[in-house]
Amino acid sequence: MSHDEIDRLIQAEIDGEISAEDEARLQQLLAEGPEFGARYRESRSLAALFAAERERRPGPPEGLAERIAARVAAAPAPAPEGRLISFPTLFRGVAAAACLVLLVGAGFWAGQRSTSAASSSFETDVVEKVRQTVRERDLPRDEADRLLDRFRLERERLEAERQEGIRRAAEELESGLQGLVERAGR
Amino acid sequence: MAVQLLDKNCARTAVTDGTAELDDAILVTRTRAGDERAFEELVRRYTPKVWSLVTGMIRDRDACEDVVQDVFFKVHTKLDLFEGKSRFFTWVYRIAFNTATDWLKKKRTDRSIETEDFTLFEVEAPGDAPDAGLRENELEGRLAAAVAELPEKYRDILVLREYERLSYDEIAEVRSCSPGTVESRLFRARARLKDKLKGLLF
Repeated sequence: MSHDEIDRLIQAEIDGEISAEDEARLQQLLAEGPEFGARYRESRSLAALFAAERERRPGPPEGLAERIAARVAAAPAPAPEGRLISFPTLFRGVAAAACLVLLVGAGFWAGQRSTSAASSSFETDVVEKVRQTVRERDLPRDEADRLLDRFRLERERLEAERQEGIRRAAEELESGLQGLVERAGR
Repeated sequence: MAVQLLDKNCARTAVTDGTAELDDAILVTRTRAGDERAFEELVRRYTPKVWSLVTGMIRDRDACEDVVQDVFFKVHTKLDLFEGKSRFFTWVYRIAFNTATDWLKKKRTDRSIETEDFTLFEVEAPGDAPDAGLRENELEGRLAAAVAELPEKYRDILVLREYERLSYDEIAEVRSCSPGTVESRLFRARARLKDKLKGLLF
């Protein structure tokens, strides 16, 4: 058996991921070859080093969970996700018109998605810049957080307005297309 | 399923007691129904784990607090996207992992980052420590340096295993790879560490 193979068995045993069959095989190998024992001790030693490090690592700052929960609760509710425009019954039997609608709908959807992604990226950049400034200038974090909350609130409001505008435009489009279909059906 | 039918008021009443004993899935459902106490419990439950993961990746403690806050904002806003196909905690870990990674990438882009920014944990100077303590600190310092030098794909998996104690399957869920890949990368990571720490392990 190669060193790699025995090391993989040892790793599985230490991680608690070994099968009963492999466990028996490993025990047999350890009993048979002293060099395997040395490899086992080396792996155990590394695992012990990580265990000691885990013990030493400090937990989260006092009250962090409460601060996070309070800030999330105070933040505005996220705007509803943009919906695909669908007209399930309107264009039944009018294949060409349905294709047109799908194209238009997909265009709106893609537009909304890309705008939303850009907006999210913009917010991430702004938040990071504010936090960087707070850290560098040692500014009061709570006040900066409140400013950020106001910024998020305003952004959410504008985003909701934009989505509402798009929804109204889509309704007008739907209405116009319905008129076209009705005229074509006469 | 029945819980999903509860309206906001019902859910709020139901969660006033015994929140800490509820399953994650129920807390998620109640949070979606608008119950803030349910989300508070999720935050309370997962802050130590998210903190541990984030501080395992980012050394700057102030930045860690910001990143942890961002993680929970994302969890809250994306909760409707959680389909329940994976376990909730691995979903949270994935968001935490990606948020911390994004932060590191952004910092790397913003300025030429020094190696210490990727050090997985702070290493205390030995100071006046007795011999045993000195050796212990030396080992920890060497371990930190060796881990920091690992290629990212190995270090990521190692952090999730050694510091977060996730199983191979859980790591595979968080990192969107197969358990076999996890096993293989862990093996390579540890082989490199043993090589770097040769003479210190016994």
